[in-house]
Amino acid sequence: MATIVFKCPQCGGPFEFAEGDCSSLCSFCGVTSLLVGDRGVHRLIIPERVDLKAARTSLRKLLASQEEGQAFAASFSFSGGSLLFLPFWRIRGMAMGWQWCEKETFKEEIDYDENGTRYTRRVKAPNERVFSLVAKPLSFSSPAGEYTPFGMIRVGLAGDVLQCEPMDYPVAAARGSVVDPLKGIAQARQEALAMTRDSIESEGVVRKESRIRISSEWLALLYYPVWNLHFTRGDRFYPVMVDAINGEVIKCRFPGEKQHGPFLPLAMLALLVLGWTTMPLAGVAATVLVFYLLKSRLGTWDASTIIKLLAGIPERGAGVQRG
Amino acid sequence: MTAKCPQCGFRAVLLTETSYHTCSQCRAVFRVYHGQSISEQFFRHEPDESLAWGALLGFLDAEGSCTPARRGEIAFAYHPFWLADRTDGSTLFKAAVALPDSFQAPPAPPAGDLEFSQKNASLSHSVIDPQQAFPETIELKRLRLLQVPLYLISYEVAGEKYQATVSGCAWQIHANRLPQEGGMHIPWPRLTFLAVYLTALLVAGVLAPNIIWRLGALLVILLAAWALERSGFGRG
Repeated sequence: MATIVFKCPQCGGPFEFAEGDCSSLCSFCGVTSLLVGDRGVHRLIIPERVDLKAARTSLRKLLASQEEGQAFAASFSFSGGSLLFLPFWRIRGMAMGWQWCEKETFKEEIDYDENGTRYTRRVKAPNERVFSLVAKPLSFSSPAGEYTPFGMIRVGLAGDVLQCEPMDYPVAAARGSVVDPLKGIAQARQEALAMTRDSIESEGVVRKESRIRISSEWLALLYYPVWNLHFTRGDRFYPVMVDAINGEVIKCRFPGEKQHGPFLPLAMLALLVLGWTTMPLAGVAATVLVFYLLKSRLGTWDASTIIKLLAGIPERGAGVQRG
Repeated sequence: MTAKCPQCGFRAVLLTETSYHTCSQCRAVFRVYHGQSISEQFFRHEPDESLAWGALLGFLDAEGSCTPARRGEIAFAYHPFWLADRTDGSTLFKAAVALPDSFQAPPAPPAGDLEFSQKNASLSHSVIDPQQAFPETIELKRLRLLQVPLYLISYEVAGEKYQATVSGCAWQIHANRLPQEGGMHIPWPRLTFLAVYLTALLVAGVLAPNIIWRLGALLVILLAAWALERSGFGRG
């Protein structure tokens, strides 16, 4: 946490503001000073490019493109949506330090068998110890909270290619809900360093020690926009997350259903009764016809599928799932 | 004793030894524990039981579980959780009040717009001590108390009782066990409709004097049943 030293506007005495504080009491004269704005961490926001209507359309298109088709998409009704700004830690800089590792090595030995045929065999050699200096550019982003329900893991390089604006909290809060960061910068730094350590050569390494730090660090809290849409079907409620930059559906879970029309099962029952109440031969013919219709319609002789068709129970399909 | 307000940083002289204090500058309520001020924040949420129930039904549907037969009790409340930042950078999240048996607590803090608790906010303030919540010897850098809106839902499937916790932040479902896809459930109205339809067909088929009458009667019954079904009758 950064500490900034100010002079009291009343008595000129020095007093401290810790990062994130917006008021402090002068220990000399007791006057309260207020601070507006943030210091230390850059807070940036990526403005949304997709509006609510386009986000809704994006989901409708995804549903309609599925096996179940237009009727499936139309069975869900839109009941509202809100914009969320999710904070991500963005770290750039140089990962500098050293790494010492012990590697397993092998050598090839040439030998001859009893017939005089030459062959090579791979034998373990003494472990090799390598000391290396690390200097790698670092570009890392990490969610500043638990975003699994939103289907977000990281923003990648979005902050580099998309236009960011300085965060103006009242303006952003008027457009949507600004999510508070719950994960500290210390954890994000550790993740960034762990990623750097993992990216350094690790083949055949049996033991390693390293000390890597971030130098020339540029740190920012980047707010990324996503649409949180609500869809309903009957009394069921399905939350959907849509990327407010490219309109891609990032998280949704819709169950698939195959509903057969009501006429066929009723007609098949009527046909069976007509056949068996007329004469046995007609009954047999009606039964054969019904079985043929079932096979052609369902593609299976599975008893539970046939009962579901007759009882009008929809069959579970693949559904739509993202994130 | 003096303590710093976790919201605005105002250092106030505390005149009482009570656990809760209100900042005179920003009106935020905060706890003081062993001389350290702990912020208490909550996720603003408008309670809606039908939406929570709908989210659970939608989740069960997508999971492939059976349709819950009967909705039981739904209890909405803000549940306090300790969020601790450790000196090594990691965070710990633990319930500050034990949830009723069989209800699963969220394993990680939900994401949402946090607000500092105000004096008149109706939140649950009686919590277990941080030392009790984190009995293992760990070095804590910062402690926060988060009030998470949770719906505790009981429901019944095929006579068996189940419990689920629905988080009001992102409608996430937490449950120890879910009903599995078991036998087929044909609703009673549907069974009755099919039985009546089949009986009508059989009676008409047996009583009709010849094939022409039989065909006509069965066709009329079929069309009537089809029209009824299209209107939603007998679907349960």
